[in-house]
Amino acid sequence: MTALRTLAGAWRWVLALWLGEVAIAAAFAFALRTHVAAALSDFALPDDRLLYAAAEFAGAHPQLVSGAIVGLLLSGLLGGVVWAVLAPLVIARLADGPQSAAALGGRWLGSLGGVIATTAWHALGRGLVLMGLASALAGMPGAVSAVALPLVWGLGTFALDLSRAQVVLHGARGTAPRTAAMAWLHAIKRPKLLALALALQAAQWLVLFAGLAAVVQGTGGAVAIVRSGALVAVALGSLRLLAAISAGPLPMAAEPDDAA
Amino acid sequence: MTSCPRRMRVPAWLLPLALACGPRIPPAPAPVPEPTSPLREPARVGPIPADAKVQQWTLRARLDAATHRIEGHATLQWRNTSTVAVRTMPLHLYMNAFRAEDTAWMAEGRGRHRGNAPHSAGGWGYVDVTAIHRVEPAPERKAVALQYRELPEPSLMELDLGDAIAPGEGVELEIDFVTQLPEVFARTGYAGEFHMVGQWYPKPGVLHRDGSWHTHAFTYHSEFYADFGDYEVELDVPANMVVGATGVLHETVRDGDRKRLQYRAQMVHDFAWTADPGFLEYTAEHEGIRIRQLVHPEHAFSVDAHLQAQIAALDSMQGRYGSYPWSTITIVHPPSGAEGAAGMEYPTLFTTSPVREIPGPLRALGLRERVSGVFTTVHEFGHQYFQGLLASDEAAAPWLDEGMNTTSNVLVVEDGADDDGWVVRVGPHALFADDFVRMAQQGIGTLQAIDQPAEAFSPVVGGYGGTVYRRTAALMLTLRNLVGDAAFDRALHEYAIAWRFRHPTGADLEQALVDGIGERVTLGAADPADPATGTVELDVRALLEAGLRGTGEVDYRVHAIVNRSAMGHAGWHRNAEGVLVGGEAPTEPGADEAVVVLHRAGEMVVPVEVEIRFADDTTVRRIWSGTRRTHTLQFDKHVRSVRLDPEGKLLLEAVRLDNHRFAPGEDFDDGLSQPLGQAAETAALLVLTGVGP
Repeated sequence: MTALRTLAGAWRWVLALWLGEVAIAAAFAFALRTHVAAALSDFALPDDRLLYAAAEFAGAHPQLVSGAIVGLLLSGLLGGVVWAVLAPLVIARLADGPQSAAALGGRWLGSLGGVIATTAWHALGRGLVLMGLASALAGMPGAVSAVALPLVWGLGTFALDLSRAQVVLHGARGTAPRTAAMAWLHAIKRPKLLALALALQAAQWLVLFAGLAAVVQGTGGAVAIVRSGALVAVALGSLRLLAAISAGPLPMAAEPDDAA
Repeated sequence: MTSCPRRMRVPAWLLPLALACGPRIPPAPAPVPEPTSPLREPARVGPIPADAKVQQWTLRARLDAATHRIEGHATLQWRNTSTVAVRTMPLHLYMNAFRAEDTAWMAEGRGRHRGNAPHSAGGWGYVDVTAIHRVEPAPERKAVALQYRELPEPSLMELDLGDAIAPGEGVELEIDFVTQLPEVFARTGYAGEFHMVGQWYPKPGVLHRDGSWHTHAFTYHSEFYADFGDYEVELDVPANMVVGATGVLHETVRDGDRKRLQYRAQMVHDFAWTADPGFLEYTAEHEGIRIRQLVHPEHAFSVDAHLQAQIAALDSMQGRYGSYPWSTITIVHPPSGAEGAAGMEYPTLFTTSPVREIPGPLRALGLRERVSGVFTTVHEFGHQYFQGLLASDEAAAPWLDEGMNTTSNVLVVEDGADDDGWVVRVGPHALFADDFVRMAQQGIGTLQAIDQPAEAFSPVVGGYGGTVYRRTAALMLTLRNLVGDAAFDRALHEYAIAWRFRHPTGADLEQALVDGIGERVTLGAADPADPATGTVELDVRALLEAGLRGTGEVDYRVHAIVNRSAMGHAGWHRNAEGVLVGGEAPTEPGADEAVVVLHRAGEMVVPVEVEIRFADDTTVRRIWSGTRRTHTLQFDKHVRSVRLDPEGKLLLEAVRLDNHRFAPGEDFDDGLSQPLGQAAETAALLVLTGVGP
């Protein structure tokens, strides 16, 4: 309940994060929509066979297909960078409540480098762990991979949350790879928090999956459903971050950053 | 329901999960007894032409499962049904295609077929004929050794018959041979303990009535051609083998660790068999036909889907082309590692491919498909008619079996559908069987003509499947859509009945279609501006000629819609006396005249319907003969949009996104950009959730 109250108190932050996500996604969608409409010019589908038309369009305009894929990747990259940059602010706000802009700005500046560094270490580490796991699972039933890979992805996300919280709130050295590595260990050693974090992530995916289903099924107002789902997902993600903050200071066996 | 492929070496800590998703093996229903006769009752078989049965085979085969080697002995009684005496007989030695790197087949295929290749080096296959004797008629029954020689292309052999065989007379041959099966990657061979034994014995060419032998080197795309006959076959295999074969089993004799199975087949032009100790057996019966499936546990979950597909295909094709004449059909599911054997037809037996299970999340989104496995069963069973019963020359005219079979496959889907006949569905959106046919026309229309021998299609060039299978189907279904289902279906039915147990050619089919449909079919009143006077007619023979032997694409486009002011009469004009009169002010501008320009962008001419929608939301339809490059339509009111081929009849036309045009300045939903935009935004939000809070 405390976490929910904290989250409710920071509703403007949640809203801002959601708006940022929607803005990135909508910009990407707008670009694709505009390109498709321009390519079609005065023409429209001749019948209601949307899948055939999409396949014909993709065959005629492969550059738009690759452009869409690149756009999607860039959207993800942009979102990742923006979130890494904003994470110190959000963590500080969620952990310590309302603060003056100067205080928040100071904490942000002080921990930004560490958060970005530990994010980079986590990206590298998670990539290696997932690649290793995927190759270890090769030849096993697909269902094993379908369970194991998302679990490890979720574990990595929670470990990243822990690292960032330790850097922002407890002065851990984000530049040290050990901070990232220890966060994985601490995530595993706190099964209740980990389970909560995994459940919150699962809920995030479920909400967005429902939005995807609405789009696929052609449900009226599908975009509104997807955007609403994204808002819920941001709120759930913030709760996950609060779970990481609640872990308190953890022994990272690394000296604090100079700025801390 | 989830089922996982059978795998090896699952770590102990994952064992519970692995066990939970182990192969799902449905219980086998009570076995359906083996039919006593290879043919159904005479009324179902229908009349068999007097000269149809040319061969009588007695085959003995002993399989060494360890070396994948077959010792064979054949007795062939062959009858000369031509009008001339023959002294030689060409024989196909199809298995020799896999004997070396420089055979005709391997030179084209380079050791690969449909993405499959042998897993190990040295898995060659061959057939080695060790002796051929001619047996004198009774009472002498003396065996005389005959001369024979392989041709430089080893899939062919020439046999000197010694004395000439006069028209109407026969000859009895004894043939000893050894067949080494290849590691399977192209229809026939072994994989582990699985053996698919097809094209394994020497097969004579087909002697036409004029005395010409029809044989072909076995090349990458060429399949087979043979005469009908009866078969008595003894298969000697290890006792643990589960065997499936052409025809029916009428006796099993156990002999220690081996068993001898006696099979009998009638009025078929090939005999194939499979043996594998790992097969599970599922049987069912439909209209007195025993349907037998041989499947490994890993694929057993899909037996019901294949059975339903088989029944749908039987119902559709029997209704369209006459009764299935044989009492049995065996569906073989090649196991993992033997994918190269999948998707091949033999008389009363075919190999299918696995049904791909859709992952749970995609199923939850509404993704369904009837392509993998199920469509293979429909297609391979379809060959029981298009080549099994209507025994065309697959090497000389592959479109006659593959293309007509694909045509019938689309109709099977339509006939059997208790919904709208989709084959892939994503939520409310679907791809239909005819969409796949249409889709395949993209980019191949100008590449190669349909009506060519198989050897004319090089795997390097590609497009064989798109041309021979799907362009043929697109042509036939376009014809059906234009002339009406009833006329086309009646013509094809008459063709199928007339050519049962015979060897039809492409010309025979074309003539049957023209006879059944008519030389010319009136499609409707011509547009006044159309050079076709009065009515627009479809010239059926011309369409077949252009479609089968031409390389033109069908592509129509709405070139322009111009809404403009009607021409007025204001101004100065000379009257009858030559005096300038009038001088009225110009007519007030207003869009009360429209000009529509249609463009035939493709080379192939097919009449096409045009639907014009006006600003008041009324519509009119016209038919354009398509004979000229462009066609202009004029109307005295504002045109909002123009749609070519509004009912999608022209399956030969792959490019449809230029068929429906709106007039400049009209506000309209193109139907594609919005859904793609929504999908893009959703995908982006999913990614952002993955990397964000």
